[in-house]
Amino acid sequence: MNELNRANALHPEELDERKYLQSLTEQALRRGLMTQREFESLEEGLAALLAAQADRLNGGRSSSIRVEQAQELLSGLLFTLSLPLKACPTPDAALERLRTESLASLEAQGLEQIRRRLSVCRLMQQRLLSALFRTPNRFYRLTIEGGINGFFKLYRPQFFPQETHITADYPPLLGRPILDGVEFIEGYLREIEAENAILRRFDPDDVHRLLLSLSREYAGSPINLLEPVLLSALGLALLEKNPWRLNLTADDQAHLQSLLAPLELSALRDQLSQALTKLRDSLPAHAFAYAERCLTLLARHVHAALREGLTARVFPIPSGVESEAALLLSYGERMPNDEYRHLVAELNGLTGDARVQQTLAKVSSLADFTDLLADLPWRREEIEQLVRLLPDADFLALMHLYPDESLLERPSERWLHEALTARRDALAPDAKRRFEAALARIHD
Amino acid sequence: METNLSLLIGQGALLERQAARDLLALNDETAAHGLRLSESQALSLVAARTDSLKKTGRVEFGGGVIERLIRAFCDSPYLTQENYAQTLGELIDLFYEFKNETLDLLSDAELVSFMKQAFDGPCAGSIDLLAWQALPALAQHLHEGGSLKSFRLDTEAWV
Repeated sequence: MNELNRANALHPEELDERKYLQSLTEQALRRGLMTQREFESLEEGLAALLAAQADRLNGGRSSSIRVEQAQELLSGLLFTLSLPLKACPTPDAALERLRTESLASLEAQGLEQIRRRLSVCRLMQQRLLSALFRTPNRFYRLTIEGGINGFFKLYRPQFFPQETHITADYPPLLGRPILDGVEFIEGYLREIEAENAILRRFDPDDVHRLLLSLSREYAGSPINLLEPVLLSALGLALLEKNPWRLNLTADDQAHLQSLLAPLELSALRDQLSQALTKLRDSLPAHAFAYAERCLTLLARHVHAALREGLTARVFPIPSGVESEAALLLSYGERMPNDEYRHLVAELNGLTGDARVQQTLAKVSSLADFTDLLADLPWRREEIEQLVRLLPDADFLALMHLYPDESLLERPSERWLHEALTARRDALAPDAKRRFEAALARIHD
Repeated sequence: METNLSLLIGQGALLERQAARDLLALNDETAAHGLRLSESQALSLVAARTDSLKKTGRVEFGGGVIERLIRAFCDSPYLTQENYAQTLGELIDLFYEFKNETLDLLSDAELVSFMKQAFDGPCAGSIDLLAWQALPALAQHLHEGGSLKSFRLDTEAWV
């Protein structure tokens, strides 16, 4: 193979972002760019790193660990090593770096990258929370605050940097990034940042009325807020109307149907793209770029809906319901991560009444409580006792957070919902009426 | 690159022979107690460790567990030259099994020390009592939130 062919011989599109090092070496071996001896030397280096990691993990107390844990440590090492390689301008440059630099050096650089990116993620989250779009949809704030905080709490970049821990319930329009660990969180936060910037261009009450028209229960559902808002704005822009009030009418719907339904997908996408350019000057650059990336998906949804005569699904007319005076629900301030980890370890060693009493004594924020629900194994009777002993305000807040059993996956969450429902049902009729009224007025 | 753990932490024949040589080197220490391993016994013990690791779903980095067991047990009044190799083999099995059963809460040193104390004490040299009474009782104690320090090594505490 001559020098010209050898340069750029690795194909970037054949590399796996989630298994970069593995796919890089596999391709290199396949194309004869790495020898078997080089590969074996790499494996020996990995084995040495793995031994050191295992030793660090158990503090030198044990010469053996479980296979599953060793596998996770190995995955973690491969994740860390992949980061400085991904930063190379080309895969060939990455391969050259793998050949010439020690694995220990690559590992150190990878860890440093993880730490820097974690700091960036924390800043992104803080910035988001300080300017979060106001919506009653509980998944929006819960995920960005509670979910992401949960990630920071549980993330162990030294040993398991590939773990994500959280489910990130709020779904971005482009979907959750298909990445792991800090890369996932970084990508997810960038998407949410862009969506939030777009949403903030609109009046929250206008958005609320628009989303109510799609579902009265949208506040309690993990749905994407941006799509109906953006489509409504684009529809208005296509009709040369003010896109920022989200006030499509029935005539507008009919007009959009006749304008767009006859178009093939690519032509429809072009129309939406032209409409988007009218919004460009009012959006931050990164938000506009994100909206552009969403166009193909939006066009597909519009195309499919119009073919079925479901114009209202993609270009909804806002509901006439005014938002009522609302109770503001605070998620509360979380305890510091170290304190939380200590509490988890303590509660792990307790069961029954002891665990319930200690939880009630030590936990003062809803955020910490919901985290504990996810991070510890609970028994049904413990959950039931907790709910019985909860102060009224906390009971109300939890009933708001867990209104619908069908959305709950964990047994502990389902038991919580059942226990909360049982406590509510046991209220005297007047008290129950007052409780329901207060519940209906809660906003996050 | 297939990230196959067994490829990375291979126990090739060369490594096993080296490990066996390390065990034979301990004969100088154990001879004082009338205990010696032959070459074939040493090789069998190393193979037994590999099998035991596989059976219990564990991987070992570096080694040293067999050496630790030998050093701890060589002065046991219940070990003789006749039962030495076999007992060591059984202790190796028990060690890895109960590293799992005790949820890795104990260090290697702590577990070996407990096994020795129990073996020489209430178990009176019986591997069966160690395997079916003392170690399971300890594991249960740890599962219930207890610690090694708070475990009573007497028969009343056993299942």
